[in-house]
Amino acid sequence: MVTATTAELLERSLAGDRLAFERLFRPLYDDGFRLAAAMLSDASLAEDAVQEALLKAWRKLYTFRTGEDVRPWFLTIVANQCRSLRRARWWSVQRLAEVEPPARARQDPAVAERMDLEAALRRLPRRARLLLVLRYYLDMSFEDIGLVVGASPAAVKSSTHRALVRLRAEWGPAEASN
Amino acid sequence: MEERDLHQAFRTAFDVHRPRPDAPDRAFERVAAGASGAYGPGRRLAGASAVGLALLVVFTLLIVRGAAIAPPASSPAGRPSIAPATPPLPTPPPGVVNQPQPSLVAVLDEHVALAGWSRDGEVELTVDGGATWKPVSGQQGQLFDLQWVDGDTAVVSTGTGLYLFTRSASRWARLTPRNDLVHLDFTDRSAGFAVTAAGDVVETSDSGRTFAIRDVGLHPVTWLQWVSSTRAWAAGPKGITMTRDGGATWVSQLTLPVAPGGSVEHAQVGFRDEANGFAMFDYGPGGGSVVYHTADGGATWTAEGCTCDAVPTWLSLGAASMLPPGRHSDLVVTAPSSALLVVNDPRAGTASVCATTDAGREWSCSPAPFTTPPRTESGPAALAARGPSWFLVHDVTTTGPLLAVSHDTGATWTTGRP
Repeated sequence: MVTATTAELLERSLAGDRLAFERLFRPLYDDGFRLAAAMLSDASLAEDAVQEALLKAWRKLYTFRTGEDVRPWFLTIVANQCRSLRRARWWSVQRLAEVEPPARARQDPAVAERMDLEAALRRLPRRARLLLVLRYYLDMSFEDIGLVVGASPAAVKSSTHRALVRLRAEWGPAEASN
Repeated sequence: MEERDLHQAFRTAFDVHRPRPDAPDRAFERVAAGASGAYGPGRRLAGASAVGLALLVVFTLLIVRGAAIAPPASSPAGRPSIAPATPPLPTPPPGVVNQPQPSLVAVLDEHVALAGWSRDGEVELTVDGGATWKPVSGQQGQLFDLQWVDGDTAVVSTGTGLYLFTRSASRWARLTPRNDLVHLDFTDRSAGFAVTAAGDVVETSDSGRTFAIRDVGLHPVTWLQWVSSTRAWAAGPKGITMTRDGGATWVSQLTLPVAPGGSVEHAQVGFRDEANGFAMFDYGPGGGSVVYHTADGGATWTAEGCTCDAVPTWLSLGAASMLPPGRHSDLVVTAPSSALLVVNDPRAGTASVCATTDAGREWSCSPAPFTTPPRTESGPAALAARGPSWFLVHDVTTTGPLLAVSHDTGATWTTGRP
């Protein structure tokens, strides 16, 4: 729900008040960064994605419908920005053979699990990865995820389930060892 | 794995990524910089209407004037029409923020250079360090920019399109009829960027057959420079932006106001590497300039030199050294802390070459080696350098194009006319 304060900040932002915009969106920076970092696996790229998403949010604020929640609307922009970044950077991606992590890293179970989960997620389609990140990293409800990806809660629930099955298959060996 | 374990696994995997402490501040500063543009909330429709109205006015005027930047008439034989002896410099139609420079020079090495003059489209080539020059014009129309893309090929933007000039074959090939590219920054003969007359940045990857507009977080743009495949800087009257990721995202580094009393008309950046660079902001015709320097890739820009009595304090920002009055053109960066620029007195028709070797804190200037009649009107001179070789080109209304070459960093000059 949009509180009176949020609605007021929105109105002032739409009138061009940059500080009101900052008060409205600064609390969402961390969520935006966490989503971008999980999607891009790179903190620097994630900063850039959120920065660009904020600029787009400012420019497209007139498309926001009063009465809705700002958080999923902003996370949609961040997710799209991550996709654009990936698309724009295709030329810089070099396909290498599967790189074995250093032996020391593999001996640390926490590091090995982190690397395995990131690698497994990278092998999933973008939408499946997005659903899992929103659900299990940003702890969002199916209703809110539906607002981000433009689908009904029921559709999100089944899609997330299918994405989780694929993740388990990709992540299987590591998960089995736990 | 249980649901709650999945949440924990994701946190373990991704909580290692943290934004830098100042990242949110920088992000909102970027919004502030973008907010000064024409696309802020609540202004979008007004901005779009204004743009539409401006386009309508521009096209109406173009029709009335017979297309101001359309190709000039050709003779029946298809040769370029001969310009009058002293034609006036073209007046840009409304909406055109970038005017072509009247004189141009592009250096390949200390022996090979192309010089050109925008109003008649004349292009001259030297392969002997400026001892002799040979006309090589094969394109038509006004000349906008020249750039070497390899040892044998230059891209040349003109009023009739974008051309490839092949030196060994003395051959011209038109890549595209697009005729609004006033500044080129190509990587090779098929790919690169350009700045348009309207101040947009455009990119091509198919030898100019198609161009896509790129948002660099700044508009209008007057200058663009790539120093690597990932890093570039764009400059315009409203400041400087840069990209570290091949143009996917652009960050504002310097924001200048558009003040009621006047604003920057032309901005230029020059980097020798990813850390050291200069920027020059020209505050209107005859109004003076300010030169900034950075040694950290633009994270901090310091105003070093200015014609300080002719520019507002928000632009000079306490710059300590004085530059001669006049219109400044062609900032040429020769080393991390060294640069050259040309100071033009358009009414007297004279020019000086000023040099700094300490990041712009001190400048030494000497008159250009052209003897011109007193009170001879001219446009800005063009300067290019490669090592100790400096090439200076000037177009003086009453005497025509002038060339000067020095191979000892300006100590002695050889002058001539094409």
